[in-house]
Amino acid sequence: MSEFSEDAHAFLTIAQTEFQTVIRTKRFLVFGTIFVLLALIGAYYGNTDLTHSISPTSGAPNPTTQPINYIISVAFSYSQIILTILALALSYDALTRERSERTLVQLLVRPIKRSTILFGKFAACLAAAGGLFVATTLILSIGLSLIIRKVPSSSDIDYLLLSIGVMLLYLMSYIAIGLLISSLTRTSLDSLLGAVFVWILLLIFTYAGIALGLNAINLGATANIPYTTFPGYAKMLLWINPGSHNVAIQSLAGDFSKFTSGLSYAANVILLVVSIIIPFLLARFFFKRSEAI
Amino acid sequence: MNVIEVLELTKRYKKGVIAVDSASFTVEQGAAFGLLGPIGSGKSSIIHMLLNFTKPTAGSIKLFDRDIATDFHEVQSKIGYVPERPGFYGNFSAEKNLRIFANLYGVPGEYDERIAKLFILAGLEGKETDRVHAYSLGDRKRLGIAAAMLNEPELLILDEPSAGLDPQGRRDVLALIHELNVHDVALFLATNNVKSIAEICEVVALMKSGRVASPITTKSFIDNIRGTGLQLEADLANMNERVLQAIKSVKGVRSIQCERLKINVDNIPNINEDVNYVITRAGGRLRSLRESPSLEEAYVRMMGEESVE
Repeated sequence: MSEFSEDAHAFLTIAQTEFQTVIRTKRFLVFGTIFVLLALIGAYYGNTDLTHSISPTSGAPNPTTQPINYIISVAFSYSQIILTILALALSYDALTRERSERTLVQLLVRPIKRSTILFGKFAACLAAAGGLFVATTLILSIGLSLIIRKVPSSSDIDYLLLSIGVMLLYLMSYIAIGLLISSLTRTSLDSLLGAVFVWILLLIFTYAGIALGLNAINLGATANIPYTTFPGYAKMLLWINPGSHNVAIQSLAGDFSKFTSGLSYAANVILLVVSIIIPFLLARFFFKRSEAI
Repeated sequence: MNVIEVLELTKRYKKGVIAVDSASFTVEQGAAFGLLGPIGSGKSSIIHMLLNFTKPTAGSIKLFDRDIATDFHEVQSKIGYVPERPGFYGNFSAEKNLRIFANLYGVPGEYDERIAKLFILAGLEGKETDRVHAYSLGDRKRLGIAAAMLNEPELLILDEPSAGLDPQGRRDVLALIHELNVHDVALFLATNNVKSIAEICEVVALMKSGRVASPITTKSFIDNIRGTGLQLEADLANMNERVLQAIKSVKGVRSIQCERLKINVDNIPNINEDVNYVITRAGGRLRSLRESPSLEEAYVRMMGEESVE
């Protein structure tokens, strides 16, 4: 057996074990249920909006010409925060749990690379949270098509699939952050505190960025925030949060010209990918350096 | 060939605590080596360095003639490790746990037969499908040994294998370990239990405050801590002259204090069994016969008195 296939087999074993572990946890059940409920509530209100002839807004699907994508965008806006919590909840103690249950030692005593363990856990968390998200979104889209008796155009289906891809990237960034927290902490409690701290910190960065940006351009609270006119430091604060690069709703609309968070569509997607890679590499670095016991 | 070769091994933790101080020893192929020392003496630190869980501050470790600082992956599949408290995925069955660990060796399906054999070897037949959460500590230890034997290791490293077990569980686990050694698996046993060492190991090295003494044979070690003489304390239901004469006739019996029937004997193998036999044969009804000092008492006394050199 070649080294690559041995690694691949070990990766699949870790991923499968982790997946079967996380989907049995209460947190998956609780946050997963809340996510589905919020998506349903969002879909309900999105569907209600359709009857009220709402004028289209920039960067969002047109309710008249893209009804399914519009309803899905409302469902996204209702449920995406809980999705980040779910991603963090599944990954924040992926390593510390193994450490406290002493299974990490059982893994590390076998010929398996630490990065394989980390990749396996990443894939498992993505399969659990992402699987729930993709299944919910697809079922919702099909169900809505049947309920409102409108079949989305082929381009709208493409935009829907693209937005699912963007949401998965968004999810991955939080899973990578969760793994980073897990690699830096020793106990599950420390990991939990770390996850809560980071989640709040990211929100603070976002609000601080907006507040400083608006203040710099002498503008009060507004629905249409002119991010592009913000000073660099305010934009930087905003961009730290992967959520600021979530262009899923923009993808649903197929409007790639809008500058979300003051960045082009492509730049946002690139930064979303960067916000996966950096925490993951850091997690790998710290996990490799950490002691097994 | 030496399966373990440790030279001037030192581990100093960040706060300046020296867990292991210039330890040197070797373990030969198929041997049963015991590292005996009190809790906190540094035994686990040595094990963690042998398994490459943590890096030494100084010194070198060779396993199967390979320096583990550079070639650990070359020898990893020859090693089995039984931690003090083996960890398992509690929600999964014991069989599934072994399957998960077996899969990490990269050969899917090949281990089915071996897993079935290991359940028999570990005395866990019929418990394969039980969740590990439901396992007793003794069963977990046995499962830990089975997990460590998945890859048919040539070296088995055991950290306090009998800790926390009741006398029967302890006996069973030690018997299982002994069985493995009979099959030519080299054992490295770290424990604070002198009886485990006496029952399993051929060679023992004492460890105290991070320092490891030169290894000696277990027999020499027991002779050293007990001295040449030993006292047997017998509790007899019926004492009579015939029994006393029978005891006196045993080779190695020096004198008898009749007050509480304390028998001073030479420290020779199986003397207590010989005394037991003649008492019973002479019609004595023996309630108990204990060695004084017991191996543990002698060991504790010695560790309290001596520094490890």
